[in-house]
Order: sequence, then structure tokens, then C-alpha cells
Amino acid sequence: MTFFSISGLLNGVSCFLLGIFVFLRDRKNLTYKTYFYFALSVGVWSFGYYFWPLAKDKLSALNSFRLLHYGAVFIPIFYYHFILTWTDQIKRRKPSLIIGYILAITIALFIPTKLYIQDMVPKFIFKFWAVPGVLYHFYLVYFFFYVVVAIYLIFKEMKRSQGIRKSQCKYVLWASIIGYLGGSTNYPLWYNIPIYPVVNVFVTVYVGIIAYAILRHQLLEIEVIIKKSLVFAGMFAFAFGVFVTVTLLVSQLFAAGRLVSLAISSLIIIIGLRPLETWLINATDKFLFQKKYEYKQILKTFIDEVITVLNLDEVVNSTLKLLDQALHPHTSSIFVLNKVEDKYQLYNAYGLEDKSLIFTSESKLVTFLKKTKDPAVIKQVDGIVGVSPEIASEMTNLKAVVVLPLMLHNDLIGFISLGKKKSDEEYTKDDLDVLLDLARTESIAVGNAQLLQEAAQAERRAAIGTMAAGIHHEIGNPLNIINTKIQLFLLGNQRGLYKDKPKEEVLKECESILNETLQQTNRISEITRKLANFAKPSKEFKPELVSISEEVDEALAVVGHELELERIKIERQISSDLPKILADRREIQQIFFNLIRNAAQAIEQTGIITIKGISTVNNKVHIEIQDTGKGIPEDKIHRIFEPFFTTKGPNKGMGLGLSIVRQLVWRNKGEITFRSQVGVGTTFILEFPKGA
Amino acid sequence: MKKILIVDDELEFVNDFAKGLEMFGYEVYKAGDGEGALNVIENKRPDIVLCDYRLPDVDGDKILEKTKAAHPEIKFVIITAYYDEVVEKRLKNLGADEVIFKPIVLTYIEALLAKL
Repeated sequence: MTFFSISGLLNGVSCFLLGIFVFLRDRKNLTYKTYFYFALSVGVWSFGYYFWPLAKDKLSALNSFRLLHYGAVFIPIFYYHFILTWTDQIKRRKPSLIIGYILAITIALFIPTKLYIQDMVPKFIFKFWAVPGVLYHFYLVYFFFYVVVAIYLIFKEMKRSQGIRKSQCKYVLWASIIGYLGGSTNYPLWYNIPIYPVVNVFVTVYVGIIAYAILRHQLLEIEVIIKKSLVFAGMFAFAFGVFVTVTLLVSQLFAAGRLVSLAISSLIIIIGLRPLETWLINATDKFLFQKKYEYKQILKTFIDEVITVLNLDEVVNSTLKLLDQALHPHTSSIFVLNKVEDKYQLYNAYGLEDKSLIFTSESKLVTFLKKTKDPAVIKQVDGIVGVSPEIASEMTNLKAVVVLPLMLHNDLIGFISLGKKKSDEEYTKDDLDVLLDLARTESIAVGNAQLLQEAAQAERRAAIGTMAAGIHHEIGNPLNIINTKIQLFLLGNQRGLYKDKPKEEVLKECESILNETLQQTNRISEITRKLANFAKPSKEFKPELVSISEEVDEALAVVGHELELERIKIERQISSDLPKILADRREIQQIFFNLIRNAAQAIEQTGIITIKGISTVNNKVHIEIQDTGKGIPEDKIHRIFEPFFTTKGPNKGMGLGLSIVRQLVWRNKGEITFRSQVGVGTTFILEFPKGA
Repeated sequence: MKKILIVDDELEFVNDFAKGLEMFGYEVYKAGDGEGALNVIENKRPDIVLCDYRLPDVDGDKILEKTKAAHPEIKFVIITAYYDEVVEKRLKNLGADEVIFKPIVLTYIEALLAKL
């Protein structure tokens, strides 16, 4: 038994089995039926290869070659027929199909003659190889013509289809290309080119992949199959190459026997195969599937980045997106603890239809995660034991094979679930290590984002408090003026004050009341407009040309009342020709609001806040907000931009003001710095690029 | 004729308020801030002071304290912008004869002044 025998037998048996298997799936299905004939023809061809190397004499070698060609001659036309059926083009291409069958049958009739195979002669390492007759060349033309047309048809089908159909086409296309490339190694020897039919095994791969593509609806990723075939072929070629070379060298140089050469080549193969496999896997990963190779790197980079994101939506969504891109799982989801109701709710998911899944603390999965703080895996992964059937069933509901706990200070604040990979590859220990790192960082990111969410609400409530007092004062005063005026007139009238007065005088009195009322209502309108403008939530970043002077006024309209109460004087020194800046108006207002409020809170008794605005030589707009407050102690200076850091007393905000201010300044392409001296005051310095 | 002092920094309001009180038959003095108020109190000795709580220089409670300390016979009414039970209690503890809220009701004040 030689290598060629074995690969022939392997191919033959597997093709027959595949053909029958597909056919039995649905006997009435025409695609399956034509596939069956196609597989059968490949099987017959392969059996020829089984018999040929075993042949002891010329005649039996010739007979095996003939058998082989009875199969080979029908491969292209059956394949073509199959592709036409599968792509539903039989009607359109019936003539070409009929011509193909006539050609195949005609050639088949000539196979036993010298017109097809002239003779069997020794060639290179083989004892017998065929010499082509005239018709053989003709056969080759026919063979490649139909194969190439069929492949072209798949390609066209792939271009116009979508979704699952597209991936099926992709499979059939790749499989065909690999299969026929492998198969073509059979032809060079006929023309005395020393290339051996070593990759015949590809033919089985080819027939197998096509069966898989037309039967299955959830397909593996084609990349994985290609990768595996390439690695397999590489190893095969290596083993064969070693074997042939060693046999040749040993017999020619040392005139030693077969046993010796067998021993030497086995040794080389055993030593070389494993490193070669690793190298091939890495090489295919690296050159063909670069993305995949880099996925761990991507995960690691992401871990560094996600920690800086402070928005829960963004944390969760970017994580899911990343996991989807890096691992290609069928499903992935993130559950987050709802502290109020003490249950884990789905925050967002990919590929999960049931979005209402909830896990309570009674869930076995939750209990497991809380207790072990380890990932839960359905099947054992290098040293990590698979979970109990009860937990496994919960995970199956979630379509998950791996669940990673999100732990923060020993509390389970959520978990990440991952489904099977689309590649059908298992999760490895390596994967889990990287994923655990990710989960640890994710916990901190989710925790931070949640905390910030709560704090931002509190901060907003505090700001609303300031504003409510402002509204009361700003609107209450004019209302009081109007109210008193009207009362005064009505009461006077009631008491006969206007009885003896001339009409003109009364009218004048009324006019004066109405004029004052009008003026006061305008004052109210203005203040409500400013407040509404200020309180409007900023949904998106919308840069426009913004005047610093106007925005300072808008901010003062809101915070001004507070300052008045605190008896703080405001000095505006904004030069009238200060250029506008390109920024989001509302964010600029918020920056001034926060900085002015901060300045006011730093002033303990009475004091002055100076707001300066000048344009600098290097095309920057330079703004200073200076207070005569208590200043920032030296040991706190480096911390003031940290979220939640505050030097203020209780009930004066959460310490988010400056961290928000800095974020907003940066978002608007500005810079913020400050100088401070205890007992003298603090100055915040803003610099924005001049707007166009 | 009883003398009344009105203290408030909203000039328009002070003028109208004063007209109302004159209509009720009082002699009215006006002040726009704490310093002015204390001046009037020292020089004119009003019978009743109607004082806004928030003033540009000092708060109404400071004027209340000073007035009551120097001239306990002067009746003192604080007018404040918003209702706050705690503030009201504190002001009354400091000696305020009454605390009222804006917007004011002239007839109510008329009745109040007659009572004081």
C-alpha cells in the first residue's frame, strides 16, 4: 500500500458515502440527486487511484487507469449539471448540458482504445504512467471548459445573492477551486512535468464541503475550513516530500534498502510534523486571516481604553461590538445588576432573540458566579471544569457556552455571556485568560459608569435647585411689582380715589400701570427664555460660532441671583472685539455656569469674580475667571479635575463640576489650566482656538 | 399719624407700596438697602418697619436684630420672597412681629398694620 493507494481509497469511500448520505436526505430533491451522481463520479475516479499503485503488471495498471477515467470523464458534466440545478439554470443552459453529456459519453466510449491511452510506461518514481492518446488532449479541453464555466456560474450566483445563500456560494466556490487545483496535479505527469498527484486528498475536502454547504443552513466560517485544508495539505505535502526525497537519496547514494529509507523518513516526519503544523497555523493566520491573529491584541488594547469610558451605554455596546468582531460568537450579551430590584437584567445583546431574560439571585448560574468568581463553561476547557447540568440548562436558555462574571469589590454586578463561535472552534484556555482580563476591566468600567450615572443625576438635582431659587427670585420680583400695582389701582378705585378725578388722569394712571406691567412681563419672558435655553439637554455636539460675551451673560442670568445673594460682585472685562469661537453653544454655557458657580462658592464672605476675555497673538481666545476666594490648598491642587473630588462642604454638589468642565473644554478643542493661592483666590484659564 | 418705613431694593415696588400705605393714612418712609434703613430708623423713629429679607448689603434679620436691640418698641415685619416655615420661626424668635410673603396683599397689610 502506498500513499497514493491510501489517499485513493480514502477519497473513494468518503465520496460514495457522502453521495449516498446527501441523496438519502431527500430522494426527490434534484440538487441532491445531481450531487449524488457527481460524488459517485469522483468516487469512481478515486478508486482507480486505489488500484493503480497496487498494479504488478502493465495490464492491470492500464485497467486501473481506464477505471479512473470512466469516473474522471463524467466529473465535469455531473458537476456542471449539479451547479445548474442548484442555481436553477437548467432551462436556460439545456443545450450546453446536452452537448456536455454527448461529449462525456463519446469520450467514455474511446477510453478502452489507444486513441485515449497509448501505452503505460515508467515515469519518474512511478512504475507505470499513461502516455496520452490524441483524444486525451481533447478530454482535457472539455474537462476544463465545463469546470471553469461551472465555477464562473457560482461566482455570478454569489455576486447577486445575499445572506445564507451568499455564504453557501462562497463555500461551493472555494471548495471547487481548492478541489480542482488539487485534482489538476494529476495532469502534469501526462506531459512529462514532474509534479505528482499528491494533493488528491483535496478532492474529498471539496466534495465534503459542498455537501456541507448545500445541507446546512448555519455555516462554518469559510476561512476556518480553508485554513484547516491548507494546514492539512501543507503537512501532507511535507510528509510525502520527505518520503520521496529520502527514498530517492537512500537508494541512489547508499544503495540501501527500503526499510532504511522508511525508518529515516519516518524519523524526519515525526520530528518535523508538529513544529510544521504550528508554523503553518500561524502562517495562515498571519497572512490570510490577519484580523484573527490580532484579536488578542485588539482585546488587550480595548481593555486599556474601555476603562476611560464613563457612559454605561457606550461601555456595554462597545464591548459587545468588540467581542462580536474578535470572537465571532453566535450570541453575546451583557447583564447588569438592577440594585433596586436585586436582579440581573439584559442590558444589550447580539444574536439573542429573547431580550426579556432576567436572572434573580436564586438562579443557579448567578449563585455559581458569586461563589466561585470564575467563568462558567458548559464544556470542560483545559483544567476548567464544566458546570453542573442545572447551570448548563440556564446557560443554554441564554444560548451561552461561556459566562464571565463581572465582579466589583466582591459583588457580582453583572455578567457577560458568549455563545458558540461561528467557526465551531472551542474556547481555549488562552481565550478565557484574555476574556477574564476583559471581564475584570469591564467590571470597573461598568461600576464607574453606574456610579457616574447616579452622581450625574444628583449633580443635576443640585443645579436644578440653584436654578429653582433663581427662577423664584427672577420671576417672583416682577410678579410682585405687577401684582401690587394692580391691587393699588383696584383698591383705590374701590375706595373712591378716582371718583372726582378727570377721565384723562385716570386713563394716564391706567396707561402707566399697563406700561410697567408690559415691561415686567418682558423681564419675565427674557428670564424664562434664558432658563429654558440653559436647561435644554444637549443631545449631540453641534459646533457653531459662539460669542463668549453672550454666553457669559447667559450663564450669569442663571447663576447671577445666587451671586447677588452672596453679595459677590461681578466684573466683566471682555474686550468688545473678542473673536467668536467654534464650539457647542450649550456646552460653553455649561462651562461658564460651572466655573462661575464654583468661583462663587469659593468666596466665603464677600468678594469679586472677574471674567476677562482677550484674544492672543497666536489666534487663541483667552478667557480668565478669577475669584477672590479661599484658594486651593497645595495638597489638593493636582486632584481638582478628578471626578467626585470636592473641597466643598456637604450639600454643595458631588464634585463633578470641574471634571465635567474639563471634558467639555476638551470636547470643544480648548485647554483649561488654573493658578491658585490660598487666601488670595483662584483663576481658571481657558483657551479656545479662534473660530473661522 | 403712624410712621411706617418700607425697605426693599425694587424701587418700583417700594413706590407703589408706599402709595397704598399713604392711602391707608400712614406717613411713609422708604429705603433701598440696609444702611439706608438703619439711618431712617435712627433719625425718624418709625412706628413700624416693613423690611424685605434679602437686601443688597445686609439681610433683613440683621436689621431686625439691631432695631429690636436699640428700640424694642418699634414693630418689625419681615417680607420675604418665598415661604419657608423654618425661616419664619427663626425670624419670629429673633423678634419679628410678623413674617409675610410676596406677592403682598394690600388689604391684608392694612388689617395687619391696624392690629400692630
